[in-house]
Amino acid sequence: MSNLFQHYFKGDRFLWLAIIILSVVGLMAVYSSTGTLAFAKQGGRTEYYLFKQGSFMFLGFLLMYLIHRIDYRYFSRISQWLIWIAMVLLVVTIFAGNDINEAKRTLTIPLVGISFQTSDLARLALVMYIARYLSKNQDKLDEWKPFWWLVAVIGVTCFLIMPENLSTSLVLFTTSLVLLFIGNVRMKHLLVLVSSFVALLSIGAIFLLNAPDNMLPGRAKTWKVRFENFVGGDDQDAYQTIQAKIAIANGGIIGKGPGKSIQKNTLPQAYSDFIYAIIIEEYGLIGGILLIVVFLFILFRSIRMVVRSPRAFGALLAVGLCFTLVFQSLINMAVAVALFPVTGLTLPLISMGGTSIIFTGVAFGIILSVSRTTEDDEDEVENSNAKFNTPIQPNADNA
Amino acid sequence: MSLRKSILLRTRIVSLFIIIFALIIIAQAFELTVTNREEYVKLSKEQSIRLRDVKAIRGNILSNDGRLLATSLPKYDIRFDTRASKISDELFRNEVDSLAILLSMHFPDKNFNLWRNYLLNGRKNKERYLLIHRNVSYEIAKDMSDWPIFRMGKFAGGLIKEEHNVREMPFGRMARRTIGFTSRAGNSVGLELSFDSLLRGKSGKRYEQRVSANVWRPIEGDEFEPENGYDIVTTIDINIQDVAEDALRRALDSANAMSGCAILMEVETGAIRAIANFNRMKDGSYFESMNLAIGDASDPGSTFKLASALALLEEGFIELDDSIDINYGKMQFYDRTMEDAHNSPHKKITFRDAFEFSSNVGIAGLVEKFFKNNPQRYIDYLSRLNLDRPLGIELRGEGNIRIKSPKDKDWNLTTLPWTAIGYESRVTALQILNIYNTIANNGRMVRPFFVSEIRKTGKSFWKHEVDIINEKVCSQATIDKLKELLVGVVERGTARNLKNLEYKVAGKTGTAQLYRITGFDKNSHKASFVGYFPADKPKYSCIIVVNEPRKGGYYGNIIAGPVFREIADKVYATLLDIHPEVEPDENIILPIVKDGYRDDIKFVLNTLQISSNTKEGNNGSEWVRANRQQNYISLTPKEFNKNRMPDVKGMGIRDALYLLESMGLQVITQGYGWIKYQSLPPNTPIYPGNKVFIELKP
Repeated sequence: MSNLFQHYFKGDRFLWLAIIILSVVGLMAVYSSTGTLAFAKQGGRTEYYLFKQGSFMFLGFLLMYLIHRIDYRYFSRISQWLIWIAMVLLVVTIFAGNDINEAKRTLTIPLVGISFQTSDLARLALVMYIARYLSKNQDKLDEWKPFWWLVAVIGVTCFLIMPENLSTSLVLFTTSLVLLFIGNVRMKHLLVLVSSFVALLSIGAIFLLNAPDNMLPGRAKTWKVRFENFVGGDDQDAYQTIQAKIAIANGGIIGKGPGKSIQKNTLPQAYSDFIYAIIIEEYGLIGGILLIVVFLFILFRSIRMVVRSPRAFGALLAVGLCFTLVFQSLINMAVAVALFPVTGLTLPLISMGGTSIIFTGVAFGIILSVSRTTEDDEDEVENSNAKFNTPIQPNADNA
Repeated sequence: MSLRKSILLRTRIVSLFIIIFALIIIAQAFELTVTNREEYVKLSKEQSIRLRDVKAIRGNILSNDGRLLATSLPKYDIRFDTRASKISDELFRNEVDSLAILLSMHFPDKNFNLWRNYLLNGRKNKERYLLIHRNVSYEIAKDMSDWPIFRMGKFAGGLIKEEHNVREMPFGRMARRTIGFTSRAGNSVGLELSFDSLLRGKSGKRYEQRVSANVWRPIEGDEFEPENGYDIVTTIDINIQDVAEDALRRALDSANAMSGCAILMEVETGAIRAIANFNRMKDGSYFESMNLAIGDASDPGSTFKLASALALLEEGFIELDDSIDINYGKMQFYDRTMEDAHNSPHKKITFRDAFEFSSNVGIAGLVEKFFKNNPQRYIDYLSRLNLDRPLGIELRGEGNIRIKSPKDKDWNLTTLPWTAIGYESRVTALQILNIYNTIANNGRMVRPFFVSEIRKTGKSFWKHEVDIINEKVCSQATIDKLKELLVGVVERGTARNLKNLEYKVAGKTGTAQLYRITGFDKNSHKASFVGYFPADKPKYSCIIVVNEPRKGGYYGNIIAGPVFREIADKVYATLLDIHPEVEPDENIILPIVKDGYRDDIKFVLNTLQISSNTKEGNNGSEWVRANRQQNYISLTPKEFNKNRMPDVKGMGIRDALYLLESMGLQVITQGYGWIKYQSLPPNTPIYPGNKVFIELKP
């Protein structure tokens, strides 16, 4: 049985286990927390959302399985043009996207009719591109030029996401900085970048908070309101935050038990932005801590890949994607426990949402692919250090 | 440092930060789940779920023929959550105009522009509980769910309906104190109070959960249904009540009296068919502010002489035609002098005359003569007539009743003769009526009642049965003699003005001086008439009391008699089964006929065998104007146009209300009698929901 599993499911078995645990928790939490939504929109058929989420999860797993069988080195090549496709799609979204909660975030794929969030694709593409670019240009990192090129790509991508989804944009920018840091970019370059970014952000924030409402374009008003509310306002977002706190408090240490959440009815977005609060309400502080532990565990399995991966691209790709997912998870949790203002970021694999689950599946597929290739390589390469020390030339490029 | 080592080091540094971040999250979660838990659990209990009473619908109070006297209607306060989930900027922009049009049509207190601005401002200010309108009817509230924006969904469309019940009295202030009401302070009176526990029903409970800031949604399955209140069928006959109130009010008004009451009771059963009470208000108008008929216990005056006569006759002390001493209408009892209303040229008259002409001296003298050695025996008769204690009716608030007894400290030698003619006692109008009713009912005393049936969801739950207080208060011989006396009062005595050719009335007048702290006030009187009809086959007994008439005399026959007559005429006219066959009379006096519904008027006139002449209108209108001609009533059709204000002047309240309300108007009325004024001139265009004020004058 174990051999059969290993035959079809390659790569880090512990990572697989963690992913399966998260998916099961996700299904249970979504089933429980969509009660109100089902009441309002589906005439009380709560199975509707369970089925919908289950279908997306199946699709996510299928992609994860297929992708993990691909040699990760192909992604290096894909990333070269995927980033440009993503940028074009972001531009299209700004002008022709679907309205959801007053924000244009999704794009309907013509003919298929499925709508997806273009920022999810852009995020994946950008991480892949950074990993490739850094691994290819390790010898030129002392120069300013390749650094600024990378910063430009990151900046444009984040800028295109920003008008409709500031929080995703900021999280992606931060993740990219961390990736640059891990990818051995020189500290002086990073310091210059960070300090100029902080200055820019401060100017922007001051402008935003002082400008009269009617002069602000589109989403800028929402950002302002959200920020003001977090600082001490009283509106829907503040209401959500209090409801989330109540949910967590209700849960206590051991929780109310699966499906027993009361706050799912009062907490808007209980099934996405605030699902962590519902999880604590039902499974208690213990459940909440265990969930964090699972995410941290995923992070450590990715560090293990850095140790063992023969190629810098694989290491950076796996670590980059893992950090993106874990970082996003922690921010979602921080929102739920009222440490951060409401961002709209989902909890990967757990929150309800189609594209989020599919792209998370793709991301894990790539991570598992790196892990699988690493395991395969270990048999072939005696001294994996060798490849790291020789000039970095990912094999995929030579293929 | 090798590349791998460098990457590994940096990865570990970042991981460290991530672990710190994770620990902060855990610390925050710990604070919420452990340290600050109580605060939020308390908040949760307060705000997210509440247990609400679901008020039962209060039962109806019905007239004897099942018409609603008091009913509870659901009304809705309508609010608007301008930020409900499905109201996007685009949707709001597109549909706000149509919503404003509908609002301005149904709630004309704001025109289209005002409504539009109101909605726009509400949305701009993110109102989640914007008041649209209070006390909206069920029908309109139901329709509103289909209006633009609101139709987006029960919660998502932002329409918030808050239900409450409003007590409505379809007949306005009619029998106000008897039907009862609940004051703003929450104090009830009348049947509303006496039957509160039945009317109220049992409230249910349900859990509700907050959906958004001000919207609560019932949680399915956790509901304890309320048990709605019972319906109370009263004995009140709306038609007679209307006549009684109308007649009494006019009598009070023309006598400029302080207050008055009228009660009509069914002889055999004790059912109260009409009960009217009026007090003069500061502005000179009359208003039913106290239930005098059952609550005001005071010196009854001459009507009390029936009890004395009963005692004297039953004891066999006197016969009707025995001669008695009245000493020209003035007699000394110990240290007090008693006088009749008029001096008499006679030293002696018959007992019959003494009663029929209401001689104080005659009646008091007899009672003093025969009972002075055993006054308790006389008092026992009063007790047998239930005059010394409350009747124990369903309505609360019977007056502070008092008949002095020889054992009492304030009993003195003059108490007996003065009690005999209706002084030094406190009894209510209903008690006096009750003894006349007992005589009419051949000595069987029944308890007066107001509620004939209690119904639960249309099914009879309890029915009143005749409640006998005393099967026979005295011998049949005495009853017959008393009846003879009471007929004599109308035929020959003090109430000759009530003599009627069609049917005989039996009764007694009463004119009491009102007692003040300073003594009897010669200028303040209580004029009353009490009796029954038809005298030979009594169906109804009736009492009229007028307190402190200031104009046109103070004698019972003059002030109270006509009111009795008017009520009796009306009752007699409507109770066709007690009519003897009448020969058409050439000298028939034509009644005054209100304008109204043609077929009704024709039916009445035909039944009364009064000829009428109908001019057919072009459109065959069902509504006619009635005019009294020489010897017939002419009926001219009133032409009403659709969606135009009809001319209701000259009509009675019921026809006008039917007509106007069926056109969708909200009618506010004031006064009694005929409609003299209407706020919308005839032929004004009208729209459903418009308000019209009509004023009636006798």
